[in-house]
Amino acid sequence: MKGPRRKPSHPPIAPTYVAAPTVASRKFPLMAWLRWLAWGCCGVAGLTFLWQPVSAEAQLMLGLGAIAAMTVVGRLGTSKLARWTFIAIGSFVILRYVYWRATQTLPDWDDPISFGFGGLLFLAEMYCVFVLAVSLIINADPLQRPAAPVVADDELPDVDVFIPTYNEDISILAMTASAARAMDYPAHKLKVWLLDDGGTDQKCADPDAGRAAQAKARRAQLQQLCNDLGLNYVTRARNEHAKAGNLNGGLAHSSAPIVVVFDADHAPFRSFLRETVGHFAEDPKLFLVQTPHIFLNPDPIEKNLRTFEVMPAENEMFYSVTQRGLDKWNGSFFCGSAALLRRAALETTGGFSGITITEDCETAFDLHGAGWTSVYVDKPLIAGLQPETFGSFIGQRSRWCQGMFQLLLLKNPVFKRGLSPIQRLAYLSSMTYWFFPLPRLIFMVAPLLHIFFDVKIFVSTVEESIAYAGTYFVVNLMMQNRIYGHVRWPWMSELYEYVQGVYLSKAIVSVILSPRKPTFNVTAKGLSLTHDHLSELAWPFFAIFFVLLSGVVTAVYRYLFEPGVTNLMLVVGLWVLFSLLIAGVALGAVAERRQDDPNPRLGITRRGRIAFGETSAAAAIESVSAGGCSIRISTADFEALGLKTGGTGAQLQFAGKDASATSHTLDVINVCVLPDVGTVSLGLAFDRLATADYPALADLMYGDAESIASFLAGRRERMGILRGTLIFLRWSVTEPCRAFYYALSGKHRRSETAIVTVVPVIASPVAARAEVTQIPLVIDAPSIVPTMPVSSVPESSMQAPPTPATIVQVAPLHQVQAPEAPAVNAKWQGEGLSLTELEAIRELLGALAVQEHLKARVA
Amino acid sequence: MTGILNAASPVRATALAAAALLLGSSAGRAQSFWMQSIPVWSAQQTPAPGAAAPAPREALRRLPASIASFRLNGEEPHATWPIYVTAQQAAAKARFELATTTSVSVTPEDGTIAVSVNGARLKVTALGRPYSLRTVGFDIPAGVLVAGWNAIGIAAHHRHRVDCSVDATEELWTRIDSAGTGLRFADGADGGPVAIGDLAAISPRYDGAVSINVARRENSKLTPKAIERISRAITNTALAGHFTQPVVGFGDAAQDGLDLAIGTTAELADTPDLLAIGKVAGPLISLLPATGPRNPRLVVTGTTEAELDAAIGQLAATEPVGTPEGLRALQAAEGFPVGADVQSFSLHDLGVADQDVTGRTSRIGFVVNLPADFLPADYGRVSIDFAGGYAAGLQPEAQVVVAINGRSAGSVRLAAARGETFRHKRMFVPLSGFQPGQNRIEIQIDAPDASDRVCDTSAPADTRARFWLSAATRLSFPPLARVGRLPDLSMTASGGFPYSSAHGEMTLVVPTPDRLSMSAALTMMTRLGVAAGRPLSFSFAVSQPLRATGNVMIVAPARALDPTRMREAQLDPDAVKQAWSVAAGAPSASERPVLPASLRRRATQGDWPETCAIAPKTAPRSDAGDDLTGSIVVPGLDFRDMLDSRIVAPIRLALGYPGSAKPQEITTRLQGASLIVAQAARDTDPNAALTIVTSPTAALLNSSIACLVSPRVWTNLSGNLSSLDGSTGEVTSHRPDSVSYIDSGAFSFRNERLKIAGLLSLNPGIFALIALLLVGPLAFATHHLVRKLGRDNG
Repeated sequence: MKGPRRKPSHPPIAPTYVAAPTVASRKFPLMAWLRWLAWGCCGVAGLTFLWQPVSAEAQLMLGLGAIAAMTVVGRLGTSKLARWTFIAIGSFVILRYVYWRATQTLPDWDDPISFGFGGLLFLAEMYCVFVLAVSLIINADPLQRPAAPVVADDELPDVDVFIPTYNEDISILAMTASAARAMDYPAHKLKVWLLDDGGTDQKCADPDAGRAAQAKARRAQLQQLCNDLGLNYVTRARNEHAKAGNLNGGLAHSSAPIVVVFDADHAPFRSFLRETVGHFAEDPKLFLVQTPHIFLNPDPIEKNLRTFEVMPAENEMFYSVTQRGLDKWNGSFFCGSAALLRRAALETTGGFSGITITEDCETAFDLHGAGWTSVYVDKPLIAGLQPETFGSFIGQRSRWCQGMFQLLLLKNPVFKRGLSPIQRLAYLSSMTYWFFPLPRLIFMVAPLLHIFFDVKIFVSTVEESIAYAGTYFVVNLMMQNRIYGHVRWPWMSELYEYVQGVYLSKAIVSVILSPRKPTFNVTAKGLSLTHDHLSELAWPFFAIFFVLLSGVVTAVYRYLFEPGVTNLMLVVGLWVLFSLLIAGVALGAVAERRQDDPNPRLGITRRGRIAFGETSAAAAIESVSAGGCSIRISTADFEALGLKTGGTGAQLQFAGKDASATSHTLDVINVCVLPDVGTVSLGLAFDRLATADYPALADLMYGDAESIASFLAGRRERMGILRGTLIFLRWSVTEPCRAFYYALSGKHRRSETAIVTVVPVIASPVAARAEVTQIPLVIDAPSIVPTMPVSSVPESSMQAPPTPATIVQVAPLHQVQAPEAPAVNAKWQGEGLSLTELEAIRELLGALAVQEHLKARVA
Repeated sequence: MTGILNAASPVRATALAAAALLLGSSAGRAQSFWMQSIPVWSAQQTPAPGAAAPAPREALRRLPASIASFRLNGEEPHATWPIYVTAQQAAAKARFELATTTSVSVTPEDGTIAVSVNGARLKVTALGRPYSLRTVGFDIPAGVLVAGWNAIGIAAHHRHRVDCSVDATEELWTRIDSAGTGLRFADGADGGPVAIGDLAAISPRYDGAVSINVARRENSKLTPKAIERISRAITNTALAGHFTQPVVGFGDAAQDGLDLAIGTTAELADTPDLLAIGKVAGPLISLLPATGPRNPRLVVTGTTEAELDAAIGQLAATEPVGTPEGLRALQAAEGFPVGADVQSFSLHDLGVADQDVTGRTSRIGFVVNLPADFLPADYGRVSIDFAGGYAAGLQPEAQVVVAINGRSAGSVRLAAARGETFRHKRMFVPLSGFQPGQNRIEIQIDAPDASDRVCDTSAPADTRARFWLSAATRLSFPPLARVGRLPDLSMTASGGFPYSSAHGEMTLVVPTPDRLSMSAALTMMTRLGVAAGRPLSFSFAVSQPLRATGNVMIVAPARALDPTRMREAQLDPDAVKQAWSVAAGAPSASERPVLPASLRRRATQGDWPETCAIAPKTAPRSDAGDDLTGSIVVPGLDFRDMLDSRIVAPIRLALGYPGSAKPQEITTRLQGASLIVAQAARDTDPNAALTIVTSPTAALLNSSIACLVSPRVWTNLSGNLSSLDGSTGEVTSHRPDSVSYIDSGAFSFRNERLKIAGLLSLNPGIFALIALLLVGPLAFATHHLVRKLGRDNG
C-alpha cells in the first residue's frame, strides 16, 4: 500500500529519537528572568492603576476608549503583538468590571436572601471570568505546527489500528475499516483490528436468548467482514471498563509500537498516517499525536438551525484553537479517536485508563503526569458522524461532562504528580469548563428574582451598570470574536451552553453526589428522523421560554406602570430579554427537522468514467457518500449513453489513489438528472454494493483529505459581531414560530427513528453554492432523487412544513415494503398530491427498497 | 480670564476714575483709622453730647443663625436650635416668645405650632391668622433649662386649605421671625452673660448674627499689630461663643451683640471699662455685663503687649456643657463631623428620633461636616440604608427623596401596594454632590394616599402613620481623599485653606482702611478663623505691592484694587469695572436707606437670610443692548469659535475638562453681584493663594460680607470665582480651568490612592488615556514573554 510520494514539506529525517528543545529561553535564564520581571512590572503597574476607585464617568470613558481602540487594533493589526494589545485592552476593562463587582455591587450580608442570590450570581460571573482568563493563558499563542517529518518507508514503525465497536451498523464499520486499510502506509506495517464489544462472551451468553442470539449473529457478521476486508477480529470475555477495556483488549492481542484509534464512525483519509506518524521519530517521549474530529453530518442544533454548510461546527473551536493552544504547553490531550499513541507509553500506565467514562482524557492525563509528551496536528484527517437527534446529543455531552467531573473529583489535576503548572491549569480548565451549565442557568434565573420578587441580586445604579457591565459585555464579545471568531459565530456559545445546561446540570449534580456511579453509554449514531417533530427533551425549553417571556412582560409592565420601579428594572428587563432570545433560538434547536439526507456526502474532485452497455463517457465525480455519488458529464455523452432514470446496469470507473492506480468499478443506478448548459449532473446510487466494493468506495471518499479541508475552509469565514447578532436575532423570531408550529400541529409526538442506509451525498458548501448558482433546479420528472444537492432545497422549505412532493421522504423501514399500498395512496391523495407526485414518491420508495436490499447483502 | 480682555493701558486711571464715581458720597463718610491717615473714628461707648438717647436694650435671647432656614416648610416641619443660657438665666423664670408668620394656604383651624425645650413639649398653640405676624409666649417650667447648651425645638402642623397634593405642601410654611423669637428671662437675668465662660450667651441680633463691636478710644490710631491682635481676639471670642455668624463692626451702635475693648492698660486708660475692672496686673480678660442700653463688653488687656497677647490666648473655646439634647443640637448646627474617625453613623447619632409621618410629606434635615481638604469626586459613594416602613395604599408617587445642599441626589420609591417594612432600603448618593465643610442633607418623604385624591378638607385629619423612619437609618461615607486645592474657595470657606496652613505667611491687605472696609476685612478673617478652628495669623498691609511669596487676601472696594493684582487673581479689571459701572453711575442702591421692615418682608417672602436682604440688585442681570456688556462682547462667532464650540468644547467636556467662561458670561455674572470673591494661585508662588474680596463700594462690601458669613451663604463659596447677590444671598460660582493640588496632611498610601482616584474621576479622559498607554508596554512584555515560553511557535 505505497502511495504516491508527496512533495515533502519537511526534509526527511532519520528517527534519531532525540527530544527537541521546547523552551528556547533556557539558554538565557537571565534574559528569561528579565522578561518575567518586565512583564511583572507592567502587570503590577496596570493592576495598580486599575485598582483606582474612579467614577462611573471615568469608567465609561475607559470602556468606550477601549472599545474604540480594540476596533482599530482589530481592524489594522494582524500580528501577534496586535493580538496581545487587543487582549490587554480588553483585559483592562474586564479587570475593572471584576473589581467593581467585588467591591461595589454585592448585596449587604445582613440581607441574607439578597446576599445569597447576589453572591451566587457573583460566583457564576467570576467562574466565567476564570474560564476566560484561563483560556487566554492556554490560548496565548496557539501553536502553528509544521508538517510532520517525512520518514523513509523502511524506517516507519509498525502500526496497529484499533476500531472499537459496540453496536454500530456494519456498513459504517465496513467503510471505516476499508478507509483504514486504504491509508497510505506500507501494507506489511499496518494491521487493522476490529475490537468487538458487541459480540463478547458475556453478551453471547446473555440470559435473554434473543439478545444472546443477536450478539452471536453480530460476532459472526463481523468475523465475516474481517475476513472479507483483511482485518483482525478481537473480542473479549466480559465488557469490563467499557471502551478503555476494549482498547486494552486490543493492546493485549497486538504488538506494533504505534497504536491508532478510530471510532467506528471515524473513517480516516488516506494521508492520515503520513501526516502524523513522523512526529514519533522526533520525540522519544511522545505518547500521543491527536488530530481533529471532523464530521460529515450536522449535530442536531446545526441541523435544526440549518447552519451546517455555512457555520463552523461547535467542536471546531476546541480542535482549531484550544488544542493548538494546549499544544504550545505540551497539554493537548487524547480525544478517544483519530489519534496515534505509543504502546510503550501506554504500557507504563497499564494501558488505557478506565476509571472514568472519559478514558481518553484520563489516559492522556496519566501519561502527561508520567512525563510523556503530546502533539496536536491541526489537519482534518478523518471524517466522522455526529449524533443526529437532540436526545443522543445530550446523552453524548452528559457522558463527557460526567467523565470530566469524575476526573476532577477522582484525579484532581491540582494534586496530580508530574504535571507542570501550566498542564495543571490546562487540565483544570478542561474539567472545570463543564461547570458551565450552572452559571448559564443562574444567568437565566437571577434577573427573574428581581423582576418577580424584588430580590436585590445586584446593587448598582443605572449609570454604573452601563459604564461597567455594558462595556464589559461589549468588550467580552469583541475578545471572544477576536480569538474564536473564525470558528464560532456570535452567541452560539451561549446557545450551546444553554441547550446543554438544562440537562447537564442534573448530570453534574449526579456525578458530584456519586463520582463513581456514571457508566459508559455508547452514543447512538446513524439514526434517521422521519419527520419534523419536537424532541422528547423539548418541554423544559418551552417552560423556560414562557417563564422568561413572562419575566420580560412583567419587567416592561412594572417599568411603565408601577411606581417606584427605577431604570434598574429596565436594565434587568433587557437582561431577561437577552436570555429570552437565546431561549427562543433554543426552541428551534430542539424542534427536530426531519433528516432528508441521512448519509452525508462529501464534495470531491475526481475523474472517472461512466459506462453503460457498450458506451462510456468521461465523468467528473463531484461528490460522494456511503450510498451514492454525483457526477458531471457532457450533454452529448449523456445522450449517447442513453442512460434512463432509475435504470440499472451502469458502472462508475475510476482510478485508485494508491501508487498502482488500481482501477475501481462500482455498479450504479441513475436516480437523478440535472441538466446544465452543455453538461448534465447525474445523481447515482450505488447498486449491489458488496463488502468487496467498500475499499473502492473508501478510496473514492477518503482518498484525498483536501476535500474535507476545503469543506471546512468554506465555512470558516469570520462572522462579524453585528452580522452574527442580526442572524441570531432573526432566529430568535423565526425559530420559536417553527417550534410552536410543530407543537400545535401535532408534531410534538415522539418520532420514530430508524437506521437507514439511503445514501444521499453531502457536498462541500463551496460546491453546493456553485451548483445553486449555476444549475437550474430542474428535476428530470418524475424522479425525486436522494442525491439532490442539499443546498438546492428551496429556501422556503425552511419556514414551511415540507411536503412529500418537494422533499425526499425517508420513511421508517417497515413502511418501505409497501410503496404502492392503496392505503398510502389514498392518504397521500387525500393530502392533495397529484398522481405525478405519487409516482415520484413511489420511485423514491423503490430506491429505498433497493438500498434495503443492498444492506441485506452487506450483512 | 485675563487673556480674553483687552489690555487695559489706562487701567489704573480708569480704576481711579471709577473709584471716584463708585465712592460717591460714601467716600466722604467713610473714615480711615489707619495711623498714617485721617483722624480716627470715635468709639461710641459714650453718646455724643446732644445726641438722642439710645433705645433701651431689648432683652431677648434670640435664636442663632444656622445653615437651616428660619422658615418651617411642609406639613409637619420641625427644627431645633441650640441655645446657651447662663446659670443665672437657667435659674430664672423664663419664657419663650415665638413670633411667626404663616402662609395664606394653611388652614387656620388646623394649623398648630408647638415648642419644646430639651425634648419637653411646652404647649401646642394655633397658628392664627395667616400672613400676620403673631407672637405667642410659652412659659418654661422651672428646671427645664439648665446652664449651658439647651435645645429649642419648634414643630408646626400645617394643612392646606384646598389642595391635598404633594406639590401643594410647598405652599405651606411658617416663618419664624428671628427678631421677635427667643427666650426672655425675668428677675434681672436679661443682662446676658456675666462671666467669660458664658460668651455663648451673647444674644444674636435680629437676623441671628452676632455682632462684635470693637470699641476704640477716640482719636486713637491702629497699628498693623493692633489690627492683627483685634482679629485674633475676635476669632477666639467667636470660637468660644460658638458664633455661627460673627459680624465685626467698629463702633457700630448695635443694640445686640458684644462690645470688645482691647488694648494695653495704657491704651485703655481712663476708659470706663478699665475703671470698672480696676487694677490690672497681668493678662486680663473680663466680661462686663450689659447695663441699660449697653451691650456686654469684653475687655482684653494687659500692662504690656506681651500680656495683651497672653490675654487673647486665654480666650479659648472650652468643652461645651449642657443638656444632651442641647449638645446634640449644637453639634447638629455645626455639623456632624465625618472623617477618618467617623464614616458611618445613624440618624440617632445625629440626634434625630424615630419619625412617624402622618401627613403627605415630611422633611428631615441635618448637617454633616466634611474635612476642608476633602476632595469631592466620585471615587466613592455615600450609601443611605433606610430603616422604616410605610402603610398600605400609598399613591404611586410616594417616595423618599434625598437632597444634598439643596440639590436632589436620588430617590427611593415606596411602591409596594401592601406596604412594607424594611431594614435596608439602600440608596447611593454620589460623593461629588458633597463639598468640603458643612453639607445639609435633607430627607423628604412624600407619602400621599387615596384620601388625598378625595381631598375632603373638612374631614378630621387621619392620625395614622403613613410612613415611619427609624432612627437606625444609617449613612455610610467611603474613605475620603484629602488634598489641598488651589484655587478652591470651598476649601477656604470650610477650613481657611490655605490661609490656615501652619507653614507660609499670610498678608491681609486693606488698601482703603476705612471703618467699613476694616469691618468687612475683620469679619472675613473671623469667619475664616472660625472655619479653621483657630485665629489666622497674618500681617496687615495697605499697600498692594506685595512680597513675592506667601498667601495674600485683599479686601477692598473695587476702585481701590490694583489691576495687576486683579489679573493675578484671574479677575478682569475691565469686566469688573464695566459690570459695576451702572451701580456706580446711578445713585447707589446700596447706600439708599431701606426700611428694615420691608427688608425683612422681602427676606420672608424669598426665604433667604435676613442679613442678605441688604439691597436690591445693583444692576440688571442681563440686558440686551446694554452698553456694559456691549463694550466687552467678543466679536461674533468666527470659524475658530465655531470649531471651538462645535468640536473642541464637546471633546473637552467628554474628556472631563470644562470650557473657559466667555467674557460675556463673566460680566453678566458680575452685574448682579454685590460682592466678588476671586482666588488664584500666585504667579510668583504657585503654592500660595491670592484672594480678592471686593464690592462696588465700601458700604456694600461691609454689608455683603455680613451676608456672606451667614451659614446658609458661606457654604456656597466654591470654585475660583464666587459672586454674591447681596439682595438674596445667592452665590454663583465659576469652576476654574485648572487647579493645582497641594498636600494638606500626612502622607498615607490609602490617601494617595484616593487622591489619584479622585483626580482621575475629575478627569475621565486622562484616566482612559493612561490606561490605554499602560496597555502598550504590557502587550509588548507579554508578547516577548509568551514567545519564549512553552514550545517555540516559529
